[in-house]
Amino acid sequence: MYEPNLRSLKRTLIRGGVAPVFVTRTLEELGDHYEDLEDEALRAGSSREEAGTDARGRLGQPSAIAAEVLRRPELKTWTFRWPWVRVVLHRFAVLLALSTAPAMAVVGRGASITRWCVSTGLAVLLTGSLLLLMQHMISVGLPA
Amino acid sequence: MGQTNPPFMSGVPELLVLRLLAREEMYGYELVKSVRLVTGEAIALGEGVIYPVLHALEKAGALKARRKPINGRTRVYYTLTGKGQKRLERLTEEWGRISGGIESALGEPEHV
Repeated sequence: MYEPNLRSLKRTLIRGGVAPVFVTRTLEELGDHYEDLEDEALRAGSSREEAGTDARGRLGQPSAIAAEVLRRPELKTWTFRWPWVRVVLHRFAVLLALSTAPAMAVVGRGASITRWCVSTGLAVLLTGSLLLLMQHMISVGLPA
Repeated sequence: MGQTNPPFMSGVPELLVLRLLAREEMYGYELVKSVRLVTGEAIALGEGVIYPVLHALEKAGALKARRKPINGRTRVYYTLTGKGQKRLERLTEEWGRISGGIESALGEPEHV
């Protein structure tokens, strides 16, 4: 079976930033190629085990295949091809999130905010009225 | 099994792939077998490395890939595009110049 080799190759390619479409294609086509090589060896009279060993040898080490894929920037995602774009976009997103966070907190909470404004307004009005009454009572004096 | 060629031959697989696909559409395994055949096994590619070459050429628009079911299995067949044909002509010209230069250098009598 070539599965373990394909799994390790998949991990290396994904970590290296290869576009998912090319990761999938590479694994599928290598899997088919392995089966063709195995069939060829079986037809030539090899045992199943010998055929597998021969097929793996001819296909090459996963590290060598990975190196060949990774040295081609055109097969990578744009974030790996132009890392500076990723950095700029990341910073822009952070700035945007920070600047819009207060507004986003308000959006969709209109009723709560209205209640908060009304109750705060009433509290201010009540406190102000009490303060005015107290001032008046101090200046005029308490009724006998 | 023959030894694979060193890295300085890195432009050769591309040239051979384009040349072979200019004749007929093929899938990876067929291509590797054809490369061995047409070069008299002088050029032995590590067979798995054919796919990055094919994918890069496809990405560059030099090849077109299509899935075709054959004997219950789906193969990815590659075919040359107009852009690929132009690339092949350019590479063939370049390679002719290089091999001509090397031949002339090898044919030069040794200085004493």
